[in-house]
Amino acid sequence: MHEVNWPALIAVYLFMAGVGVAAFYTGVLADIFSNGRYRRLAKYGAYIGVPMIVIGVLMLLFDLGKPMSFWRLLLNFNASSTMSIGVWLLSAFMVLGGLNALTWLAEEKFAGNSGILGAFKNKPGLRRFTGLVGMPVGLLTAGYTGVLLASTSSSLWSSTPYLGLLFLVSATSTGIAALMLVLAWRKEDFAVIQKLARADALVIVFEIIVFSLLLLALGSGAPEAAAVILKGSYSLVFWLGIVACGLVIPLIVEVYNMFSAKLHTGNDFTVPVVASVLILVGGFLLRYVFLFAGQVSL
Amino acid sequence: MAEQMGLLIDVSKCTGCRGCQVACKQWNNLPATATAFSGSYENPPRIEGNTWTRVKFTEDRQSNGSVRFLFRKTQCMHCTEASCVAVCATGAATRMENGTVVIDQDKCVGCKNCVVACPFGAVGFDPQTGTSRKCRACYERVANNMPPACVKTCPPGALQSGKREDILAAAGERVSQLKAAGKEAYIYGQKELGGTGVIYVLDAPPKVYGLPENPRPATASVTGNWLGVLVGAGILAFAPFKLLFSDKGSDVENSPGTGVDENA
Ligand code: SF4
Ligand code: SF4
Repeated sequence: MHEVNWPALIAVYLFMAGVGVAAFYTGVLADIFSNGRYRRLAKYGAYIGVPMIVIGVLMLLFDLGKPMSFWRLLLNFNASSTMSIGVWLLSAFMVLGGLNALTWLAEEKFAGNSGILGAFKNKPGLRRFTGLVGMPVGLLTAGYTGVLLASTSSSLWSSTPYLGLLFLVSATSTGIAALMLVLAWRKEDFAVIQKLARADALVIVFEIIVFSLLLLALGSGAPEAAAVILKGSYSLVFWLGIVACGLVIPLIVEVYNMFSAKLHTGNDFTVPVVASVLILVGGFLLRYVFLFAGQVSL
Repeated sequence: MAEQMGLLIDVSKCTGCRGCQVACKQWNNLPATATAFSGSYENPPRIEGNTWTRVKFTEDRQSNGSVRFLFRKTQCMHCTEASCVAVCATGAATRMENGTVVIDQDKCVGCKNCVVACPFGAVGFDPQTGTSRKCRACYERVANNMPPACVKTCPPGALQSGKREDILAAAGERVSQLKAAGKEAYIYGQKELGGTGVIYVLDAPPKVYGLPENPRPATASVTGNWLGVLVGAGILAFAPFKLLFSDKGSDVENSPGTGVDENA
């Protein structure tokens, strides 16, 4: 057995990167498909996405043996290296998302007409372009966090083709949850939160399917690795934290909420807030458990 | 392609003296590590940033109840399909023209991807240098027509170095000898991962010696995983996003005074 080479900090990074890019592309997709009716989601998505990614990347750098040499990652491109692809995806996302966020900030009340922010005022073209390009970059980045783990010799991570997909879907759920929290905090339109909760319920169903496929494939391809999470020392966190807290309870709450909303119980923010917090906790635990359990079976 | 280097490890001759471990530490200026007795004379417990080779001790219980003590020198295998090279984002891990795989210590940023990628657990992270390090098959010695330090020191002649083709021939010969003497014998490394620079002669199946039977490069499942991501991204864009957000549903309009401001 190996010692832990990728520590908890990496789980935090995988989590934050996922939340960040997913909040961003959720906002952009909601905005473009609705022809602007959900524009506000695109704004909050950019506000959540950019700081999350920046902090996440700083953690990644902090974990390097030689953080000050990080620029070497930018001097090279290795197509067979998922990390190299990820470095370029993250860099592209920071530039695109950063510019996108600036076009929103420039229109906030505190932004004047002069200065740096002033230059980004009324730039619908730039906003649209950075959103449209940043959205697929974000989707790929969310998937990359899983593919990164898959490009190793850990049997838990690399013996199925589903880890990238699982991380993408799970990231989407956490990104939507983060948006719901922000909307609830800003006391925004309750109907939009309801819409997000419905979207999230679909994503969770998708996630449960992907999770089942992954566990089935693991069970036949790498049963010892599957046992570490299903029966071993991580099983409690797996069943309680990831499955119950991150998937099943939020799904029930969101479905219940859909129907109770029809019964007009008023704009009660508690339900979506509870669901969102559970999803975020479950999403983090998913990354934490996979990161550590994968290094046990290495 | 330049001539490929080879290193033969004949476990049937190894006495477990660990002279190779000491020679490696000395030639490469690697510090000793303080370890605790683990119940086995195997020591240190694993390959690390400053321990590039170690003799793995295996106690193999036979069907008649007796125990065979097996020794295998472990280190980087110098794979042709080298996982460390494939995953390295800085280009620090490279395969030299003679097949030796080295990690350029100036280029390595210590991301540890190669550590988790190597199918043989042959790379270690060294917190002292902040880099990942491993056996470099004494690249400079070999370039100057000297055998690697471990080969030079091995008392019973269990190690041998030379051109890979000669090493393979020698391995074949040794296997016939062992078989003629009525023993089991296997070659490991001829085909594995595109052929490795290190070739083992084993007197028990690879698995017994703790070698993976069908090692795969770390990047083997990457294409499949990316495909999954692409399919998933397509599905997500459609459901929920296109499905729910492009509906001209009544949610927003019907909640008076709370409609989303177009110019927000
Ligand atoms: S044994 Fe490991 S470190 Fe050595 S070349 Fe192969 S993958 Fe790289
Ligand atoms: S630790 Fe160094 S050699 Fe290994 S993959 Fe990272 S940069 Fe490359």
